[in-house]
Amino acid sequence: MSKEVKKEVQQIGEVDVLVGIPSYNSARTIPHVVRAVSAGLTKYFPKYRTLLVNSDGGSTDGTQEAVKETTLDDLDVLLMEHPVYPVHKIVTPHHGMPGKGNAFRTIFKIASALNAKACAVVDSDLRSITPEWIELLIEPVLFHGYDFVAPYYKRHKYDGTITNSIVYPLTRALYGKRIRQPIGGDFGFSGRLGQHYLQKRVYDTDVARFGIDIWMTTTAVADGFKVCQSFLGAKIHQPKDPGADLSEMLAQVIGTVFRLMEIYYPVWSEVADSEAVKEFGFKFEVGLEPIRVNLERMVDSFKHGLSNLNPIWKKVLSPDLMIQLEEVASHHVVEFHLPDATWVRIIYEFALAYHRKVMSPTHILKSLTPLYLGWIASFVNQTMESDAGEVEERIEALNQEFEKQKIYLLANWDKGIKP
Amino acid sequence: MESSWSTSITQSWKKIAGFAPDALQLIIIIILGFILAWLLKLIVREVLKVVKFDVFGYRVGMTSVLSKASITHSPSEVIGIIIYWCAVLLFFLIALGTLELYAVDHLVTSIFTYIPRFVIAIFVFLLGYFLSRFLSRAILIGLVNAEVRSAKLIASLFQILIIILFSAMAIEQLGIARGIVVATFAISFGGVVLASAIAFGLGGKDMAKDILERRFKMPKEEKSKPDEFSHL
Repeated sequence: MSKEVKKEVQQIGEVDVLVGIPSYNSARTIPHVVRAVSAGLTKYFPKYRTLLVNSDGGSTDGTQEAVKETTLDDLDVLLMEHPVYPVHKIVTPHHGMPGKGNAFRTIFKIASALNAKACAVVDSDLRSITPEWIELLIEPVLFHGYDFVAPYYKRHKYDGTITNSIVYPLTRALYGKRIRQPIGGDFGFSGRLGQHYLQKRVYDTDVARFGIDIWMTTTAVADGFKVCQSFLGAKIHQPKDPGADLSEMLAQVIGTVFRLMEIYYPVWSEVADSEAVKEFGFKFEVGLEPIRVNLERMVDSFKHGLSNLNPIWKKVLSPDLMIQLEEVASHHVVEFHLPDATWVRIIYEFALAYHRKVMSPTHILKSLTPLYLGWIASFVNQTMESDAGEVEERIEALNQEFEKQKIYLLANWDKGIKP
Repeated sequence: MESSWSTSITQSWKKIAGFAPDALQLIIIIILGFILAWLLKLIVREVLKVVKFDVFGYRVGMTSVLSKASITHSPSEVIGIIIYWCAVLLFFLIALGTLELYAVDHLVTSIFTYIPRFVIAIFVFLLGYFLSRFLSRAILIGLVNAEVRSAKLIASLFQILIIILFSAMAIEQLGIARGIVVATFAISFGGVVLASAIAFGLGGKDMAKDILERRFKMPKEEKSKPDEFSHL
């Protein structure tokens, strides 16, 4: 924290509720997020001392100025009762390695210094955030004794594919909690959990980038904190080229999941099945814009990967799995199908290869990309005509396959490297 | 006559008697060398096992290189065997030094002077080999993920280049025909780079066109449009 921020923190003294917004070049979208957060704090927590923290990673588009200048113009219309305390704002740049993780560290530090009881973090590029999100992320902590509130969104059936195909089913199978959006990006947490996060030494690693969301969720679950999820509605955020750094993003997220598997082996090895977590919020259907999916390119990537990365995959995957992949690759785009059982085995064998260090961890993780694209292509093929509910059932079936095959993972965890 | 025989026998006996302690010393040093080399092999092997050198060897591709050469020993065992024979050789040379013969002394001195350069050359070559494997694998994965068609070819060329570079460095270290090595390396390296540039230029013509079109023109085909869904 800079001297100015420390001084500001000392002046504020203590707060009850703190909301953090990590940002980087979000000048276009952040005013809406700041307005929604300020309105949420003023409307739902008028009797509490509240603070909004913007932790910026060195934006050059005027993000910090946009936050400072944003005011709540329609406050009178919105308020049922007059707030006792105004919403304070702290705008601070974060230091260290670039990424969301260090922005979170700054937020945790400020929350700890101000002895905040309940905190939330929300993304700065959200277009669908409403004041109710703040209520739904803070209330379970402040009034119901929960330590961690995961978001639950209504998303397009093909949105969040890393979540749907790997992170959600794997986290659920490992730690036994059905948290639907473990890498949602918007969370609520208690001051106690914030301090717990602050003690961990992960902020100078890859975890501090794309891996921070799954790290927060897993740490909360595995370290025994009380977790729940809140239904927030649709998640719509500023569009960006999703395929631009897919390999890097996938490697960081899955690398974090695999790294946490090493740390929390004593925890997950004892978990036999999964259970639902308490849900807050009122579930409703939302209309979502149609999105374009290039199936041919994905199948092509899978086949290209199989013909080029064969020697690498042979070090990671079992011979029978390699034969199955050859069989899958022999089909044309329309009939392209990667069975659930094969996909689950792939993920478990990648986790085992990472654990046994059969080669550089980065090489293991990055070689997963073509397989992942193959899985998405297969998933899209199967669910092209399905509605959101049917797709959810399809994801549930995949989850059960992950839970069923966990025994394979456990049975092979302590075995040495392949001869 | 009798006196000359006895003188000759006495002289021979004196020579043998004078050589015997040296010979005994030589035999003792060699036997000691074998024992100490065996002990050293045992210690090195166990230490390497404790620090999980075999896992490292598997990761960097040492195990697959050994199996390709039909060597069934683990990397730690191979290192142990190499150290064993190096130690035996060292003790053998020390033993020969006790004979105090000019030719042997000269040979021993030359070998001792050459050993460090030989070890450095081996180290440089091995470093180059494993570095080339690591980097070519990273390049291959990166290119496959970027959907570059000739990924395997480019990665293999890169590996060859690195091996040529490090081999030249190793041979240069050994001091074998320095001028020829440098010239051969320059020709090979330049040749491979030129060949790669031509191959890349011809093979990547369409890709370069695509990149330029994507950057400066609006996309025409549906196929070139990116997916719109979010992965996270």
